[in-house]
Amino acid sequence: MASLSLNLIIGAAASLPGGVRGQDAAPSEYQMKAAFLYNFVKYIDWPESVLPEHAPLVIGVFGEDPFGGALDSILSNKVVNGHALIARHLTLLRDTTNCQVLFISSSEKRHWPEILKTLEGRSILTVSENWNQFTQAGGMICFFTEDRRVCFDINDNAARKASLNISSKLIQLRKKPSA
Amino acid sequence: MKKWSLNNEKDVRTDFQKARAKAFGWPTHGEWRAILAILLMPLLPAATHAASTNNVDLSEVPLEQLLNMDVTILRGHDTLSKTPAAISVVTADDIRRSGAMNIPEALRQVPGMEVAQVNSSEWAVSARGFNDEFANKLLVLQDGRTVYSPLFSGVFWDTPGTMMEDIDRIEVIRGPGSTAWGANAVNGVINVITKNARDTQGWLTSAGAGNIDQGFINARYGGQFGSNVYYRVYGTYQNNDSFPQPNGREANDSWRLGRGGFHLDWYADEANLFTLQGDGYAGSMDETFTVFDVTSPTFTAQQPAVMDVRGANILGRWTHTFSDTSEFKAQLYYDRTSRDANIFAETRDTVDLDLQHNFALGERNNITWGFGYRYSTARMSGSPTVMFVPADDHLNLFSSFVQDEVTILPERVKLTMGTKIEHNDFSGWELEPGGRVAWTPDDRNTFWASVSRAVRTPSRSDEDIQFNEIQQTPFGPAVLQISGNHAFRSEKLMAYETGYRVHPCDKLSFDLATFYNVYTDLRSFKMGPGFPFIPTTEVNGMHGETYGLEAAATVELAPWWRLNPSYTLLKMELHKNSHSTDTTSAPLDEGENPQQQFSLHSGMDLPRNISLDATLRYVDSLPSLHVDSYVTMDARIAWRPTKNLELALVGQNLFEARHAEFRPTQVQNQATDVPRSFYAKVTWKF
Repeated sequence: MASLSLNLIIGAAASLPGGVRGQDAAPSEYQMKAAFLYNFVKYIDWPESVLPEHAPLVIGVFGEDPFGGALDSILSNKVVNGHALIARHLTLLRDTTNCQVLFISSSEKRHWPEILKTLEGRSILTVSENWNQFTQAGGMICFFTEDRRVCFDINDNAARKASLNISSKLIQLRKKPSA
Repeated sequence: MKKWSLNNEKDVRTDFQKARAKAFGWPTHGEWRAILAILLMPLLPAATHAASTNNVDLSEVPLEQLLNMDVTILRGHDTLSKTPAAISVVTADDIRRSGAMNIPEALRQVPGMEVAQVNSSEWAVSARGFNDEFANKLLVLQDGRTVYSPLFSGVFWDTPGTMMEDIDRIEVIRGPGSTAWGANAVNGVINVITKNARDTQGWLTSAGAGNIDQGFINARYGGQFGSNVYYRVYGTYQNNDSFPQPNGREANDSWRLGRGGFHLDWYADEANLFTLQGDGYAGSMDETFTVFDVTSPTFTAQQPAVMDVRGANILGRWTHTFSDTSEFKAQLYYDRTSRDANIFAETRDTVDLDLQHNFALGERNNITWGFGYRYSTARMSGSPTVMFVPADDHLNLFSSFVQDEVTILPERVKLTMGTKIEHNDFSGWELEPGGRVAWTPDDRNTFWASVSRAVRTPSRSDEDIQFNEIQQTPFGPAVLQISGNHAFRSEKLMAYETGYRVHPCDKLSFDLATFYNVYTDLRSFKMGPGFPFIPTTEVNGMHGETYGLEAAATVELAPWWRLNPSYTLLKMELHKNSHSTDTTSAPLDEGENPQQQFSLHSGMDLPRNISLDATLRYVDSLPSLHVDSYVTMDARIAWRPTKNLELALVGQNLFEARHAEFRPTQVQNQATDVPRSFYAKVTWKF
């Protein structure tokens, strides 16, 4: 009986259309984080005064760039809520105020208090990786990896203080790192 | 003495097919057609597109799905790599690619675990020694619900389980569990964690059959009510054939089991998550017991029986997030299990409440504390072979724990100290303190060490059992009339462990754990005078040391080819206490465990959406059971013609037509060997 039904199912599969995916090589950690940055933007509202209609939305990477070209390629030609997405690589602290999302590389760990001071009062979403309990120190979203998956934690208090409105749909998906 | 037929009368294959299948372990005619169909599929034009070797476009993937995708990790950013314990995680992908049909099979590749199949439906599973069908030093949980039986402090492996595709991961910690939910985490903790309802939306069905798996089918549907409530319901059915006996004839151990259940998650608001889940199962296992028969010249009789097993559980959990640094969990469950064989029957009800709170105190401390109460009651009936006096029981267990994780040097050194305090009806108060330290000199290396005390609290088998075990002696058959002992104390363990993890580059990672365990008050026997009826009492008359190491590595030879070797070394040195006369228990217990185990898994992602996995495994001999060492291989080839359909062919125990893995020691069942087996499976999502 088992082999007969297998043949029927195989016959049906031969006529199914469909893309081919699933067995492709797994994406790299930073391709995944770039994809998350792209998706975060869809669930966050910036105040009109900071990000007027049709203005471009800048995602900045401050410090050593771990993305390779992954962030540039995922953001190319993308538009979210009427804002064109631009990736920028920043090396000077004073340039960090010109973006709406700031990814802080772990190379800048030691400068975190300085960065926090520079960004005070500005509606910039700060994103980084799980060092020094980033979210406890005032950072808004931090990535961490657990068991070959990328997860993120959110400090929505810090986001609210910066007048950023994070949708509850995104907050639902956060996870607490176990270390 | 009446001779019972050992043929399974429900088998409908022709004698020729059965004989050929059993002798050569080859697939039958029908199975060959299925295998050929699967192998030839890639040649059919319509169903294939050129497989893309580029990565999928992640910007097209919805956020929830991104969270479910595995990535290749570049650096040692993994939080698990900093855990100061010997922890391994079997992921959903590992389970799928191994072709494991149940939880013991999924545990085979974990270093430090001993997994031996006793017969078609029974398993002997332990960690770091002391393996037995009634192994009692391992705590097993499913979604936080304890699935071990207070009868013998062990697991009947038909009890835990769910649809394999719904398991998110199995966390295995070797060594005493630190913040586990219950008692008896002496040599290890296994937690089977199922997926959130949100991650199992839509339909998924799978079905298949093979030479031992006579047919299995699984189906699950997940949906949502509104935007905050996600649910799934599932059903599974499995029907397995019997295994061969060492003499080549079929044993009487076939079985069938159906399961069903649901899982519901309600994301009430940012701070509150409610979960309600439940399962039910029913099945029957064919057995042939060697029972105590006073009228027989050997005092034994072979009695075929059908053991019915049934159970249901319902569990509710509330997770409340006070703030970014404080979280509280409360869990309440009710569990009923029932098993009925001709020599023994038990129906047990358990109610369990657990609370846990985790919060940061200042900048350097992370405190977790918890409290739990469990009430378990059973009605039992026995026979001269095995019974419990009193038959019924009402057991209370109070447990609590507190743990502080202190950051001594930020990013570098963390010290965790804690203790568990329990009170049970048999041994009263038990204290289990422990300390762990983790040192991460940089992103790539972690060193850890721990010292802990754990106890294996007495079970009903230690205290209340009346059990007749027949032994063949040079003077003829003897009957050990084993009785429990109300003065039986907990078995105790002081565990000293160290470990090291390193991630030298993207493509290589290595994990080493060593342990030195000192046991006291281990169970042994005290035999009184008399022959052939020998009154025997269970006593705490043994002590010993076990030590060893577990090593595992991940090697990425290419983006599409990964190797996972693992090696386990175990040395057991048990000794009888000075006033004990039991000279058999120490060598018997030592010899039930393999000294070395090795496994090598190769996972390949080939073009045209084909994946190929193979695991080579070696298990050392079990001298006191006269089980030889064996080398065997499991393999799986799978093809995804479309993103919703997967066809797989799995072969298990491929090298020999059959080999022995274990022999029953206490409740005498038929001795069986594990045969070579195949099955084909279709999985369809929509």
